[in-house]
Amino acid sequence: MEPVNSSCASCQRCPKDPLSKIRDQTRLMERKARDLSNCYVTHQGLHRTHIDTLCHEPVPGFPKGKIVTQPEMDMLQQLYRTMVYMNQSLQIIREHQQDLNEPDAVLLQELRHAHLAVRGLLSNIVCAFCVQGASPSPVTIPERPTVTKAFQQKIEGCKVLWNYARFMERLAKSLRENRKQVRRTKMGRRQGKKKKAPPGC
Amino acid sequence: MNHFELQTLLLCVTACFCIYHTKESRVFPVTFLNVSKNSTLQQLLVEWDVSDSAHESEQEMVFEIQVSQTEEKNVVWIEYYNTTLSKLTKPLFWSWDSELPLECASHSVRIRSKVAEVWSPWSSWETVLGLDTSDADKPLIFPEDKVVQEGSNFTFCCIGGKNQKVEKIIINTSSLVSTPKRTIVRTINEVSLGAAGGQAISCTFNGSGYKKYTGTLLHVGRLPDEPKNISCETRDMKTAKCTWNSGNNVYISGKYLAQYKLFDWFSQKTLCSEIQVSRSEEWCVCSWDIHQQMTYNFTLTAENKLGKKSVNFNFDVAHRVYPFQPSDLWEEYVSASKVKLYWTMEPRDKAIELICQIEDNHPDGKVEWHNSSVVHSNTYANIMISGLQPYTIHKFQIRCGAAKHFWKWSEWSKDLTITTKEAAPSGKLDLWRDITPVMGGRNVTLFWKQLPGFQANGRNISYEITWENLEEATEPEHISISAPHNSTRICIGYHSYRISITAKNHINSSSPSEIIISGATDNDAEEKINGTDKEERVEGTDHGIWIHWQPRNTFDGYIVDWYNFPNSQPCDFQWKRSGFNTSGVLIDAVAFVPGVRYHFRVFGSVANKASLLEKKVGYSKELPPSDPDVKIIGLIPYSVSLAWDSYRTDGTQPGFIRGYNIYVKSLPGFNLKGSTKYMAPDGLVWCKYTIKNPEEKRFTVEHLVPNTAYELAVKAVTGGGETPITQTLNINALDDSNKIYLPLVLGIIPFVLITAICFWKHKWLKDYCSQIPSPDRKVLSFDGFKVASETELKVSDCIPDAVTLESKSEAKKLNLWSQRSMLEERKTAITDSSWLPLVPNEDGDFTYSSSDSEAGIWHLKNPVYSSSAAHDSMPYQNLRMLHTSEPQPLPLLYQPQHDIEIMNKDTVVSRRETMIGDTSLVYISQMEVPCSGSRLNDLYCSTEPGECLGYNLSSDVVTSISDGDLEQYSPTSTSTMGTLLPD
Repeated sequence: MEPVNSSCASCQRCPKDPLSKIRDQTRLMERKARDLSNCYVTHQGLHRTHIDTLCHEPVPGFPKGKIVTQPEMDMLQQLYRTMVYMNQSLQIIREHQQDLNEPDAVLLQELRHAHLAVRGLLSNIVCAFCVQGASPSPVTIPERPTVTKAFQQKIEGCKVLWNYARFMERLAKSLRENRKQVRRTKMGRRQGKKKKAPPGC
Repeated sequence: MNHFELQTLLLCVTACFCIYHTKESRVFPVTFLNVSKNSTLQQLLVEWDVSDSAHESEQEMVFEIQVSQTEEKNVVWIEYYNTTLSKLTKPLFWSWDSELPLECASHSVRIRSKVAEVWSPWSSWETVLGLDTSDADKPLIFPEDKVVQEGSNFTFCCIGGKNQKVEKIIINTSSLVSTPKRTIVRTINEVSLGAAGGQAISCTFNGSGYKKYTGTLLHVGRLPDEPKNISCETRDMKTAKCTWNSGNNVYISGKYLAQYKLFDWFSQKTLCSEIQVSRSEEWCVCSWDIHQQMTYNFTLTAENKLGKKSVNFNFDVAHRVYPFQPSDLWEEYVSASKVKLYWTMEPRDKAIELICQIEDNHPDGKVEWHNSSVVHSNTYANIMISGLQPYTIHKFQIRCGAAKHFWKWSEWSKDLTITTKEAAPSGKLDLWRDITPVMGGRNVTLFWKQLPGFQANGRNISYEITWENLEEATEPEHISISAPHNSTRICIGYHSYRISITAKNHINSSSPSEIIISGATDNDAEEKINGTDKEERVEGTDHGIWIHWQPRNTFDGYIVDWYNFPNSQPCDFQWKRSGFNTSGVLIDAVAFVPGVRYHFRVFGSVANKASLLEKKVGYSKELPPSDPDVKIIGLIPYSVSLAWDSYRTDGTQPGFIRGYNIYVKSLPGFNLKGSTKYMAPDGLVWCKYTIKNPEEKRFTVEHLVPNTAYELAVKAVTGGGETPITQTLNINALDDSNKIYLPLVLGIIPFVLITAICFWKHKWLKDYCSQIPSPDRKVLSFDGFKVASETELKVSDCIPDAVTLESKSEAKKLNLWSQRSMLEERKTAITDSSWLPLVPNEDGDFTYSSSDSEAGIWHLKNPVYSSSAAHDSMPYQNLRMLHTSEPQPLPLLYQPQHDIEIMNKDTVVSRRETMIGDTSLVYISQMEVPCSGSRLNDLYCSTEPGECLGYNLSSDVVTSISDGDLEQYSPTSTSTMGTLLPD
């Protein structure tokens, strides 16, 4: 697949603290991603066995391990790559589901909302690069086999959404822990400063 | 063998050969057989042929076709194919729809033919291989994405890759373990409707291979419904549009949704195709250009994967014109009641004949419609609207429809709001008056309102009032009142006057309305009925208050007037007119409030001159009145007297007071004589007395049981009933102490008398028997008093009485009073200075005033709580004089007496004030003498001037009893005791 280029023409429309925005957005998207995965499974008429056997498989678009532990720029790059992948995957899933559902089906609406959220997160990731005077590196999306059969399309969508929900869950959890750690560190520094201060101050 | 025999033999041989030859030639075995498959349609395609001679001879033949599945050649289908061969039917063709997907197993076909009951040999089997025989690594499932009808059977197969065997089959929500085979075939019987996106069916495999599962979707649905509610129309005669409803849900969606096709048989054209409808919208639309074709014969077909349904209908464009919404509505004023409206229509490039409807919305909500004549869509249409109300806001809107073959109205145009021009007020005012006599004339308050049909027709309305003296030639007087005022007051003399009123605006005035005020004198200036002010009661209903009167022939109409708010300002004066032939009118004023007394006056009117006929008073609804403030004015052992004199029975009450109910409750099951039983809503039983006279505000409950607690309640009754019993007066009936003391008194008195007699006798014997007196000797001689020798000495004469007069400044004086004076005093005197003044406290009991005591005045003390000698007495049981020095024996002090009410504080005060001047004299009783039988009120009644010599102060306490109490209760009032001191 062709690399996706990104540019940082202007940071004018970026929020002041894009990382904070990303953190907040991630927290919201965590629950939405879980709901979407469940909604998808419900609408597909898939049996639990289908899901356990066929859906719960890793797909190559999602990173392994905690990306939060990486340096900030690397973490952002990984997140950027994952969201680019999700952006394309959601586009494909929506097209497949349009062939199977009514235009106003709840699943299609949920997919559309998820797609918008992913695009919003991508925008904030680009901003996070931008405010640091950088831009994300072009990413190459892993090649996926073209699926023509409706059943296989369902399974592929199921896999992607299940992995997406797990990824967002891990990401949100890591960000929460990371934030706590940062606070503890800050508190420790303050206390250290206080201890150093002369008595009576 | 002769020649004939030889010929016969040859003929037979020839014939036999011919027959044999013919038989051999009538068997046409299959010479060519080819079998293939159409995977999309899941059809097995069979092609075969027989020899050309069979075609040429146009044989009628039967072919038996056998279809077998699997390599074991299990025959699953036998078809007998009848045909008549010809040169055109070469080769022969037949197809077979397979329930089992053709990929699931190898399918083989063989054929034989039959001519004249003779079967040809079978052809060899021709086989189409299934994918179960392939060497592919990838597992497969067939069919893929199948659409089937609800209730049908569905067969599928899973084929493992090379070296793979089916492990599990997952259908919907169930998972089945399979026998370990490479290919598994399953049939689901009577499939049911499922998820919109299809039901998932999958197989998992074990064994080698990069993929361990495969799956398919089963879409179960229904045939499309026949299109419903088909409607075709045009708006501009250029394009037409048909809409229809897709009908019921067919449960298959997305790319499998039904598609619609609209075909016109006249033009042989499909106007619309592949029209889809979503499940939520359910409506399909097809539009096309009309050009010159005005009539159509349509077939509308709905088709999905499961089949199709059609409906035929005709469409005549000219009969289905739905015009566009008219626009550009504007007005031209012609007069105050006429306006001309203009508007434009579509299409402008075609002349469609239309009729239009104009809706005229009045401000009062009234709506009028006006229809235009036939207009063409490409012209400026107009219509004259007349009969409009001057100076009124009108809101117009317009819509149009086809003049010929009307189909439906267009949408309404946008509103046009106009205000018509002003005109003179139309209609008349209703004028009425209220006359109040004043010094030297009469004040006439004029009221007016607009009669139905009155229209102001303009701005700045004023009311012009003119009044003229009809008896003296004077200039009429005039005032102008601006709207919205609707009343004014003028002053007129005692002559007759004509008063008229008109409404006036910028343009002109309305017709006048008149009333005539009759002349009067100074004495009869106030309007009365035959010189009286008697009001007749009327009763309200749920609908209002009916006012009836005695109709008279002399009047041409009647007027009833009243105040809507008689107890507040403004009173909202109202009146209502009725015709000459009426005798009553329902006053249904919504302002009427239950519990408010309304006064009505009925006037008869002739030639605008009105005279008062009757007066009425009533309530729209009577309510239960307030409770009377009840006082206990008397309490004796067997009865209690109640009074509520101050209770008002006038218009301040929420209903006409019809009487009173007195409720008494005591021991369960106890009944008071003369009462009736009454069960309260709370289940308590009361004895009930009824007073039907509202002005009778006293009542004595008799036949009480002494020393028994009673609860009392007095309720006033109106037409609205009475309030529930929530507060009661609690009393204890007095104990009948006579029963206790009478035997004691009866025992002591004879003893005292006997003792006295004995003492006297002893002394007499001593004085007279030992020293026999001279017959001329006087028996007794006292200074200042002489008793005649002939007078027989009596015991009472021997009791020395004396009154000690004390003054703060003077020493004690002893005076001997005459017997007569003493008796007088027994009747009249109460030495107020010897008793504590009664002052009612909050509980209705009496106590003494320390200030008065300090001033040297003795007070009468509440015997219930204060008297040490009255431990057993009940409230109000007795009024006794308390000695200031030594208490006297109880039997002499305590006598059952009638009660008095000494509660009028004002009276006490006033009397006390009277006393102040005489407080230098303080009467001290040194010996109490019971005055049984004499009563306090007797004393009051005897305290006339001249009869209270030397004892004028003693009546002070008595006179503190209210006048009313004394008047009624004097015969049974409390007695008191006069005291005399012995010398």
